[in-house]
Amino acid sequence: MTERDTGSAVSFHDVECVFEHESGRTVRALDGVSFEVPAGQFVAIVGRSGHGKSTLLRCLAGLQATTAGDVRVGDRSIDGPGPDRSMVFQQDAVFPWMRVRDNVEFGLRAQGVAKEERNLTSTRWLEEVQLIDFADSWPRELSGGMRKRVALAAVLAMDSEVWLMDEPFGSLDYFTRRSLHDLLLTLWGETNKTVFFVTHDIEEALILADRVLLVRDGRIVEDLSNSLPRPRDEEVRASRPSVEMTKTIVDHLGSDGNVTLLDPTADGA
Amino acid sequence: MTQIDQTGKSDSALPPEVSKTALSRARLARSRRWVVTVAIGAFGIAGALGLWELISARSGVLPGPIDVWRHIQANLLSSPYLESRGMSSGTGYLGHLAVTTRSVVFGVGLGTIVGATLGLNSLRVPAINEVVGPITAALGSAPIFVAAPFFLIWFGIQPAAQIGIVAFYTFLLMYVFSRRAAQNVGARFVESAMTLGGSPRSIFRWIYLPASIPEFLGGFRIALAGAWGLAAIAELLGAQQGAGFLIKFFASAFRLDAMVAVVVLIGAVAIIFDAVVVLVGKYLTRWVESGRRLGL
Repeated sequence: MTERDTGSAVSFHDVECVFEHESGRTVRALDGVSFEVPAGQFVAIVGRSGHGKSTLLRCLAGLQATTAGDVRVGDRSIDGPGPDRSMVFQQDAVFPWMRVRDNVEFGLRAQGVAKEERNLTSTRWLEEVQLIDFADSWPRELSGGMRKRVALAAVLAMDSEVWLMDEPFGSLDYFTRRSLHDLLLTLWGETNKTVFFVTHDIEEALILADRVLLVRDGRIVEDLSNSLPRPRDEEVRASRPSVEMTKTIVDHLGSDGNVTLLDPTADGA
Repeated sequence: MTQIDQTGKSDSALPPEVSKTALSRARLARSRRWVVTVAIGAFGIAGALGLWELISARSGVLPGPIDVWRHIQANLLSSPYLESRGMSSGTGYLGHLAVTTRSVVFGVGLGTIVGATLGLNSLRVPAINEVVGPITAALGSAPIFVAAPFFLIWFGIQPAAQIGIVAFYTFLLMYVFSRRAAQNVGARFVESAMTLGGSPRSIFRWIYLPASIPEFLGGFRIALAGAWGLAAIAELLGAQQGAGFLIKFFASAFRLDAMVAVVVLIGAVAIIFDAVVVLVGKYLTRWVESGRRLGL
């Protein structure tokens, strides 16, 4: 379809996303964003609130139209949402009117997969996220962390090539979040999918990702590769390279007109 | 791929540490609460009946509950009183109640199907609301009872006029409630369904429809409750059968006990219907967190 085929799983080419408010004021949420991600990479997108990291993910999901540029998955420009890019949301988006198993099977059912096959697939992934004993429960009977695992199983059941995660664990307590990190990394290791993980939590990004894209004012200001040894436990996180990465990220994202510890000229906002 | 074992079925979603005794204790507490609720309800009804008897004994005009009960017993299945007044033989009050019930069932059914279909789809198809929105805005605020005579002129014959007016009223209500229900479906659910490969059709069937049920039921109960009164009024204005017709007939004969009997009967039927809706509704909304069951 294109001569620009680079063999990468996901690529952005000069992507721009401008919102027009009712008042007529325009906001440039993404501005000339370009990057390429090879298949199987775990990418964290880190930035402060309102700087465009969720917009970037929504453009990739196809939930948000771009105003210029090209978003590609494989060799194909995306045009709207699709099951090749399933998403886990920040808010609780597990369907409360479906039992756990029906939630996991939703995408398969929408695609007309037969019941026995749906059942095999949902059983497999419910076991994988350790919720098989809750297959017939309603979401309201589960804790927040368990509902996130249902959402993960629903994405897994779709066998999507790209997983999109928009601050999925933001509302969870520290320990639940850590166990979900472990689960997510295990699943990623088993399936070898490409993951985009939006977070404002530097710690979380460094624990999870191979690569960290720093977003500021709708631009990618730094593209860091994270080669800390896995598993990234507290010891690794306390190591010198890890602390230095944290410092780099803070340097890029943290300076502000008000909190000018680093470089007061870097920002006009 | 790893092998798949068939342990998918589990009898209970409860973790094993929840003991059987704790469960039965919870169940006992629930049944005790139920008994208390019923007792309080019975006490309220008994009190109301006693008050009614007291007032009727004092006033001498209003028939008491005992007289009304006797009258109902004598006339429910076949009515010697109606026959003595030259009314069509063979049908007691029950036959007339059935006529009113038919108007309500068909009217509410028709109005709900049309109103809910249009209301739920009105977000997807803006043209629907451009047409229906102004109608509901204009007529929704006007008292529906004033429309009754027009329906009688338009439809004339029974039961079309009665069904028509109930259907129209239900349609207005269910359109507004269903549209609002669809508007309140969280965007995150729809977006999540989209990224999981949901087609517009499957999103309507598996997201919008079930998510709307709690709000829909709230509107449905209001529509159903109003429909009984509306059907009866439509019969009052010009019909040869039905609860409204009986009330008008007895009013002209100054038979207060019979009038009250019909009112009590139609009220009883309405309560039974409502109870069934509540029961079905509780089942349909069993997924809703218990504190947030709208309208039930």
